[in-house]
Amino acid sequence: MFENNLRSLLDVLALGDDAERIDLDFQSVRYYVPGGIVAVVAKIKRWQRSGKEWQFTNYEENENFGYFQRMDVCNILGLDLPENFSRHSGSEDFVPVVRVPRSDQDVGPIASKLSACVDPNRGETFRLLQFVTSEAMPNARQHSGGEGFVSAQYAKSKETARIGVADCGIGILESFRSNASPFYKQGMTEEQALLLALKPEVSSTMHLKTAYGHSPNRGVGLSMMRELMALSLGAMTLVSGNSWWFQYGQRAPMFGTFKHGRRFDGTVLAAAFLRSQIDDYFEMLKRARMKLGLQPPDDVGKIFL
Amino acid sequence: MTEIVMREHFGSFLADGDLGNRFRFCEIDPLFGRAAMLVFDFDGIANMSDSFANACFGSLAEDHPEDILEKVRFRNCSDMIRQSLSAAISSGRLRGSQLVHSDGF
Repeated sequence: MFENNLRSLLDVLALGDDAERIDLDFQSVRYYVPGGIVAVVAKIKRWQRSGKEWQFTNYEENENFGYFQRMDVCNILGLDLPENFSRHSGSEDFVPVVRVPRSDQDVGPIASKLSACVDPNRGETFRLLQFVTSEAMPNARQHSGGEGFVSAQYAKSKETARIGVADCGIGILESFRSNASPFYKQGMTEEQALLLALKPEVSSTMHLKTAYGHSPNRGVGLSMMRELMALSLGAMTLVSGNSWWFQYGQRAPMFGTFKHGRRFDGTVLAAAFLRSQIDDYFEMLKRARMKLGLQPPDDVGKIFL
Repeated sequence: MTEIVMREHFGSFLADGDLGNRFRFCEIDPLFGRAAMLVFDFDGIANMSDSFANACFGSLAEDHPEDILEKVRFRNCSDMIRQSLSAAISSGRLRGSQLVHSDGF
């Protein structure tokens, strides 16, 4: 399961929403990207909250199931299954699933940890991923009202970096509606809300006053991620409610809705790119801001010593 | 002059918009009224998210679109940090100026 077919996984998982008891069959599971893994975790957390019974089946014979365990899927779901591997293997090319920090906790240390698994030398790719993950995690906070999960992985053989963030919260449309966002319009669809959230300077909470005066959100995170992933010729997918969006490189994005009323209650964001495509993080930031109109004329030069 | 060493508060990565927002409100705003000059030292800061830059310094510029140019200085900024700050502060000043005009002042 990769970024481009993540929505197929979510489509299948949605079958569980109408069931009282769910068996997740691992017999033919080979590989999931971090976006798929955190989506499964968020989905099961949602089922747990609504009192559904669920279980993993046919995992004992599947040699790939150890990877799910090593990614701490079972631990974070409270599932105590025997492990047939050493947890001190020395491998540092992935970061197991962790919870997105609460709003009073700094996302910086987790962003750095996720980034270091891809670029342990802390070069351009490290800083790009720091930026991307630190922008992605607060989105999960903002739309979740529930729990958010994040993970990252680096495939050395193909030099591919992957991250995934998912939550089991209210989703993007409901975030616009429940926060009485000026961007919300009566009758707005989830697809319209998802496409709106990807635009620069759009956020469901940027109009709100907080205990600290201004809202911390200016609505730049998702749009910057989108541009940075396009510049890296990578893939990015965003799913919320009944709608999905997928971008590959600089091709025109695709988007649509799940069929048969299926949905993902919450939001999933997954991204992947080749490390070899990242050679100048600063230049990428500049180009992304220019493209999005987020770089107004510099009229503040005198404030820099 | 009052100096704020950013690394002492956040380490080398200014990441979190929520914390940037809180830092502005709790630490910077009270000093802004009192200090003749506020200097932010970015020595050792290797990276900064746009969320942090906007929540901390963009909002400060929105509240003080003119005063910020007279009362705030940044030192030891890399080109990348300087560009992020510049974008956040220019945008914040623009929002602040528009608010002032829309209020009829």
